[in-house]
Amino acid sequence: MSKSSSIRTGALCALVVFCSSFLPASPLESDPRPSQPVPSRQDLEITIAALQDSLNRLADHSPYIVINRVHNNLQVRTRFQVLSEAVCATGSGKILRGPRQKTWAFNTPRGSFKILRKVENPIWAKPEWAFAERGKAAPVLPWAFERLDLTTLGDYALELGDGYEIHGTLYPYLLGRHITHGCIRLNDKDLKAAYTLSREGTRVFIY
Amino acid sequence: MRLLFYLLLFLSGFGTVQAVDVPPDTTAQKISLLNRQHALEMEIDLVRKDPQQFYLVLDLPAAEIYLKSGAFLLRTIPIHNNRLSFPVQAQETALLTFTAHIPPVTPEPGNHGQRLRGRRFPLDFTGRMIEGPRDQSRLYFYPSLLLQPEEIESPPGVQALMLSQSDIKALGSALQSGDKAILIPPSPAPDEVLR
Repeated sequence: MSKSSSIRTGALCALVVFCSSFLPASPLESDPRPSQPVPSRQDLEITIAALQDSLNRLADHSPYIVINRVHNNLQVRTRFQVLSEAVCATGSGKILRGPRQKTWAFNTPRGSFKILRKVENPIWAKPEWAFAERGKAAPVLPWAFERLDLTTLGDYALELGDGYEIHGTLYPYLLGRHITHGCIRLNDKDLKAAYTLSREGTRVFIY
Repeated sequence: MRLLFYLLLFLSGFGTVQAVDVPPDTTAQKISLLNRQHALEMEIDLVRKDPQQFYLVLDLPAAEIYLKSGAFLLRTIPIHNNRLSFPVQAQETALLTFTAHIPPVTPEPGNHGQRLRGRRFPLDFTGRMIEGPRDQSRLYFYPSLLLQPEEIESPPGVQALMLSQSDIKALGSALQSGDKAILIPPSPAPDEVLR
């Protein structure tokens, strides 16, 4: 190859390199979202902070209760920290067949609830299944003396509606098991903590 | 002639410097910030539509999953491993729908209600063939994503996130068909952006 032709080839290569350097390296580098102009990093951070703030405002700042039915665990927590954690007992999942073809399923329901009422020294008015379970007939009157039980629910009860409650237990050695009729049982110390940290209207999430 | 060659070479050097003027990580950071912004917008939208609904935020850059309801955080779950293959261009925040939970106690209708523990043959539960061992739960989402325990192999070709078995059980108890999951894709590496 002659000297002049090699110089020509070199110049051509340099020209190609020079022209190609003006092209963008990749479509993403020049414009990650082609349909809209990309705001600056500072703008994005400001927008994200504003969105995070409006998301936080959708949840209230007071403590809430989270119950894990799989691991029988109850937490009273805020967004950033767990205030109290306890082993609880939840629904057994058993089905009871009573007289006149009545059936009851003893499940702790999944979902989002609110504490409707906080009760100190609750009295349990036994429902029909509590008698059916022992093979007895339930008293006709709902306020019959035989229905009232002063001890089973412990010192406090947090009512969630539909007869479901967070309450104490006479059998603390059964905590951590799926053993209840749908209510959530806690030992005395954890129940007192949950009662103290919550108020009427506190959110309760069960999963 | 030689002078012209050196001049062109010199100018081409300038051109190259101009092309990489923007630091490569800035674009990657912008993409991940945009993804986070979209995820927050989706989450606010979800919470406003149904404050009672349980949903997941699959935060791949943080390697964590958040179980939430009405913007309340219920559980934080670490992602132990993943088998994902997102093309770089498709790395955008996505809204997934929970379709099915296959627990080991799923009864087989044609088997007199007996349980499927340990079965390995293909079974049609939800309109499609699902294979694999039945002693561990799996959570299926649409578009295709699978949450499963890290102890078992994931089906070939399926994008999967591996969690601990206890976390899978907790999620299986929390989610119902139709619940949503917001997927925040992994942050692109600077060299991926420039490729």
